[in-house]
Amino acid sequence: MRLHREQRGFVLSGIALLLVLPAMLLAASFLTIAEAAGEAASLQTLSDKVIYTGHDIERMLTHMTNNKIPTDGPVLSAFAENYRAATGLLVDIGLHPLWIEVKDTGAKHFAGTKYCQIEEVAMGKWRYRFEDSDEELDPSVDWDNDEPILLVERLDEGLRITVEIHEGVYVVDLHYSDQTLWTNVGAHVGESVEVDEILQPSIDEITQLDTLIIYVRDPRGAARYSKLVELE
Amino acid sequence: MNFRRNQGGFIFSLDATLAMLVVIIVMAGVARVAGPELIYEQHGYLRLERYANDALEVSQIRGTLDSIVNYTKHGYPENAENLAGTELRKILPKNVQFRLVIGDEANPRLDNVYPSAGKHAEWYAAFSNAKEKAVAVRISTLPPKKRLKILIWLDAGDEYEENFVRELIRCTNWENKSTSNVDDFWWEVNLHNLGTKHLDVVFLPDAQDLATEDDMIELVKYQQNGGRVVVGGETLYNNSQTEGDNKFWRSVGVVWPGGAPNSTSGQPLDNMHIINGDNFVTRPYENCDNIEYNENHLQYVYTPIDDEWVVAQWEETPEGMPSPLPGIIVREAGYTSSLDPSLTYPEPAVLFNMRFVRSAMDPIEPRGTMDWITLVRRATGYEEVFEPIILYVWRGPGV
Repeated sequence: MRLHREQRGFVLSGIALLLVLPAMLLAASFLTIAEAAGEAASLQTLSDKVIYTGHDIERMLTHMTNNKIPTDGPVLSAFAENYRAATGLLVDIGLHPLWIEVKDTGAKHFAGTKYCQIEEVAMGKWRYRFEDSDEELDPSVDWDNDEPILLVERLDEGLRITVEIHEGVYVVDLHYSDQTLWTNVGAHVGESVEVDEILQPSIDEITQLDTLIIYVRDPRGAARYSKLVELE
Repeated sequence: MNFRRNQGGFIFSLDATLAMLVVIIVMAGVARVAGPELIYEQHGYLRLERYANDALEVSQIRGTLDSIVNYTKHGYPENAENLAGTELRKILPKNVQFRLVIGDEANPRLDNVYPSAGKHAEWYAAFSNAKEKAVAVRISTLPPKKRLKILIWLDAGDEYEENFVRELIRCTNWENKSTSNVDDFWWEVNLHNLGTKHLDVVFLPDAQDLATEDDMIELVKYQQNGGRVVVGGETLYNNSQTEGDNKFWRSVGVVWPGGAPNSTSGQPLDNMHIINGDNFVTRPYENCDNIEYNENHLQYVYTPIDDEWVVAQWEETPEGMPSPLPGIIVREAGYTSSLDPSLTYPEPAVLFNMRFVRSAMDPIEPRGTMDWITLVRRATGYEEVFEPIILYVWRGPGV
């Protein structure tokens, strides 16, 4: 474009442009740094809240057990609801509704009873070990708790259940709430299935579970707390 | 100004100067956006929240929070406020102000804990106007807001009963009237029956000299008038001779044998087993849980009107005794007598077949103390509720 004699303006020379460019780059970098710092601080605030809530739930469960306050389904639901209302966090207390049905004897054994040992392998990963013999229906119980052994893993969306071992002679069906995961689970060792995660405070006729999973997280899922608690 | 040929230097042209100006403006803008105020806002809030959570945590660990809750439970809010204020002042820095609330915010049980006493309105205004507030929450069990009004009969000079009731009162917020005076006791019951309906529960742990011939019929009327009775020990044994006693027996869910019930003690009675963990009395227990009992103290043989009302029993009994022997019988609420349909009892009644007070408070061999206290507490309908403890903190000057 050609400038007329009477037109005025500035010409951005090469050196001027070179001065402006790093300034722009620096500005962009500073803004990113400021945003990251803000995010880190808010994440720390959130994770503090989640951890304090998780610890308090654990403390209260111990207090309830020691003071003979019932820990059945309605009480635990009200308890979790109190934390939800007070903190704005998502709070679930209960167990995955896994249970086995022994076809040979008709026994039904639920997680959270003496017929299922639960071990926390890592955060969000558990091993459920079921016993298929029944104290009332079988002459003796070997308590080897490997009929079957399940690996249960929490995913971003849902839960993965894998049959790791099944050493029993009985035919056992595996259920998750009212859904049958496998009939004759012994024939499906090594197989996995993905389901929606449910934590139930009580399972069918079982009024009080002897083990519970506490699961606290913020609604965006940025901070989580999960712990297996045994109630004596 | 003229430059000589041998003089060196830079010439700052006008466009370079303007470019520098742009650079400076951009840098200043960024510095403003990411400046110390923002960093303080982010980290300052984080610190404030940690102050709040740590203060509650420290109070919890030191046991002060439990004491504060206990004062609130037993109706001493001033003591709770003083203790909470002192404790939080010790823990939090001077420039951090606080407000502690116990219970639902809409209807709190304790809401006057600030750094200094006596300026509730000013502190509340400071709290409301604070720009930045952090909050920490804990959940606790608190007694029901409506205090149960309970009339307890204590045999005169019976230390077992006095100690047992003292323990019960310590872990409840009952509005209790304990008496060993027969006239006082029946005055309260009659007042209720005349229409005041001021008693929620009548508790007879082990009554001996409570009633004359027709008195027990008043407790039947009391139950018709919406009252609940919790009976144990020798009470029925000592009131088992008249037609009025018969009606009382039936009102608490057992058949009158026409006289005193059989009794038993000693081996091989084992501990009592819970057989219905779904009942309101036995809800903290699982089926088959054991409740320890000192077998040196007597137990009585009762026949429940409905076998479904037995929630705990003794499975091994001495020879000649029925097995299993009902231990705790809970006559259901809203029951209408099959013999006299005009008799309806809106509240349940609970009967213990044993002298649990003696077992729990035996000076040499106390057995199942906490369990017997828990069972009696629940039999009266006392149940604690969950409510939050909320600590707000903010930065600012004191009031």
